[in-house]
Amino acid sequence: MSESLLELRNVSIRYRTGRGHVSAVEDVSLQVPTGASIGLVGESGSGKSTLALALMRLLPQNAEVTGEMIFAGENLVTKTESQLSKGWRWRKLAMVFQKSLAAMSPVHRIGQQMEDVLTIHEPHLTKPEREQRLHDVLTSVRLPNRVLRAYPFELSGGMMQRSMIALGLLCNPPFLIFDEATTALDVITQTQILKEIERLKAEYNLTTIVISHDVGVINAVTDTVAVLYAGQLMEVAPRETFFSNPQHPYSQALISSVPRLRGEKTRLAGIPGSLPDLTNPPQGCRFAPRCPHATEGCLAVTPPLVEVAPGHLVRCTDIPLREVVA
Amino acid sequence: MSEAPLIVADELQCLFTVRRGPVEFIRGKASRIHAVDTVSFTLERAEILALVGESGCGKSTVGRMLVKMEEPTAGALTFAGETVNALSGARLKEFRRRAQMIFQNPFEAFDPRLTIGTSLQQAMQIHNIGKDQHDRLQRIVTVMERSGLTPAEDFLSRYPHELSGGQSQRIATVRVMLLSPEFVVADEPVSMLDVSVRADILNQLLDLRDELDMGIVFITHDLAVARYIADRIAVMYLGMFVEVGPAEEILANPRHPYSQALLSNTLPAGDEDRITEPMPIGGEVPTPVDIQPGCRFANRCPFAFDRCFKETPILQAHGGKTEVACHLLG
Ligand SMILES: Nc1ncnc2c1ncn2[C@@H]1O[C@H](COP(=O)(O)OP(=O)(O)OP(=O)(O)O)[C@@H](O)[C@H]1O
Ligand SMILES: Nc1ncnc2c1ncn2[C@@H]1O[C@H](COP(=O)(O)OP(=O)(O)O)[C@@H](O)[C@H]1O
Ligand code: SF4
Ligand code: SF4
Ligand SMILES: [Mg+2]
Ligand SMILES: [Mg+2]
Repeated sequence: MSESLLELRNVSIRYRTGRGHVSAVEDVSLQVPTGASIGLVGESGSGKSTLALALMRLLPQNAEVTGEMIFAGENLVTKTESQLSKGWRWRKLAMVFQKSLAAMSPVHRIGQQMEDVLTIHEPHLTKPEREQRLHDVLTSVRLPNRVLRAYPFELSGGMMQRSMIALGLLCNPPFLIFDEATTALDVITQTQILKEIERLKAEYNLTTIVISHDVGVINAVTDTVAVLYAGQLMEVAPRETFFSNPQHPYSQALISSVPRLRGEKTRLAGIPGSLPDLTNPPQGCRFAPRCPHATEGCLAVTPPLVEVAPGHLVRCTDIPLREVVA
Repeated sequence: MSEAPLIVADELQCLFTVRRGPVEFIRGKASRIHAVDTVSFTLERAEILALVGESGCGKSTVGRMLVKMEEPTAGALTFAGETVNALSGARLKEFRRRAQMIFQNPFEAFDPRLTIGTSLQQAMQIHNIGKDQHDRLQRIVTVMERSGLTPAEDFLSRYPHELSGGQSQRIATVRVMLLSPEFVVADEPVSMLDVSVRADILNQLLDLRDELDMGIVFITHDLAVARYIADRIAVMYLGMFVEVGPAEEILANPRHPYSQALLSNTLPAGDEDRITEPMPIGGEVPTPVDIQPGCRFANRCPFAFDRCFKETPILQAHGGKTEVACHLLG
């Protein structure tokens, strides 16, 4: 197994708000080997974007990060803003945002915005070198050069999403986060973009984190799935295991909430209830209020994340029990 | 005599004239966008029809015409035996209760200045539902709690911006239930929601159909969602139906090349394999301006031949219940 490009050690993130502290990410530890593609899934509000923004060090002022995020041997948490903007952000780690339209200025041409990014992060490049780079990255996401002269509103959803990926790739980062990069696109555009991502991964040995609540996307482009619920990692599993034999009750509920293209049509179970109030999260297992297997023991202590098989971690006290039953 | 179908759409057409758009700019004249071109279908009570297709293919425009939020340029629409085009006065108001729409963006559905409680009460009052304020409130609370919005009082005093996407969409569905319509158009009501909330909303709509015999036109670009909710599926491309038939039949054996492309590009959501290799089709949905004769899919279709560029294929049955518009089938 290759060395980890990124390692999260006991990362917790809180937002200070008028209502108290929102515990958005709680004690997350995760290894991301070079060349890996980690899928991050979980309901809206479970902390996926918060974690991604923390890696980019782009969290808002009211956020507090504790723990360590070791990237290529250095702790991102303690880097200063001036260190980050010189040679880290966009150069070493880049991100394609959930709200892609919001990430680009509506009043400037795409090409101008991309050039600005290059001028800031790679000031040594000459004008022809910058132009060459723009041309190369557009080619790699199969966009015509005319996109450079377009304003964001002139592009279709699919072209805009590709432009955002191009922006992410602009400084050749070894690590890229996709936050719902294909959500709300139609299936044909989505397939095209996911294929691009696969190709880029192979070509540049990119390491990626792919955030999506679409398990189809996760299935298509990741090798490991990490399930986040109310800020806690509930399960980390090789992709095949996650889909064929998920162990955590929350993972099982997520998978059985998705309608299928084939097979018997049964009523979707859904997951009754909703995420707990993160200013006052429940004691013990955060999923307990919604869990069909919850016992009193689950409310007492937070279950540890246990390795049940190589590379397969589960945070649930009920696991041994159900294995005996099965 | 059997009861009239709930909806009969007869050659509905909707053209938009672009006055100062980029197209006119290039061509130097006003252009017409064929958002929907001669769409015909029948919907029975308690039937669910899914409209599927890429964005921009005219699904929402069909939906808006069906609830009279958009006037068709041509064609006739009949609702429970009554011609909709000419409705006015009290009959129109009655139609506005009997035919409802649920939107993709649930935040659009409510007035941002009113609390949820006030919005729901107003909607009922306009349509004379409930004896008095107290009775209306009672009904609202009952329906909300049945939809998992508990405690209901908690939500009634909130403003739309204080709700998550899932909560707003549930409340939009609650409003529909309160008005007991016979027909609902749901325009991508779950595409922005989490899988868990999505499952709940889909189940809610299925229950409504069962309880009220409601007919539903459900717009989605997700074929697995269409299969789950719909009895029939209509595949749309550039303003036209290219394939219509029973949901299971279309999923098992899509016959139009565009349906095949959609299905083969849909990602499997579990450990099952892909149905087939994704069929590559280039480009994006073009804007349907100044339409020429021929198949509208021809410039992206891997099977296109001479005839496809000259003659517009018509929707017709080729044995079985599914109708397809493609020259490959004769
Ligand atoms: N700036 C902020 N101030 C206070 N709370 C916040 C802020 N940003 C996010 N939160 C809260 O933190 C939690 C995690 O939010 P986050 O955006 O990371 O979720 P997510 O998993 O990305 O959800 P989605 O799938 O909707 O994008 C939520 O409870 C959210 O309300
Ligand atoms: N008010 C309008 N004026 C001009 N063009 C429109 C208008 N509404 C929709 N269109 C065009 O009609 C086509 C179909 O749009 P729409 O029904 O919204 O598609 P969908 O719901 O499938 O995304 C698109 O080409 C769209 O740009
Ligand atoms: S620890 Fe208990 S409540 Fe939590 S997931 Fe396991 S069984 Fe359910
Ligand atoms: S009519 Fe021709 S171009 Fe159109 S879908 Fe059929 S084969 Fe393709
Ligand atoms: Mg997010
Ligand atoms: Mg639409």
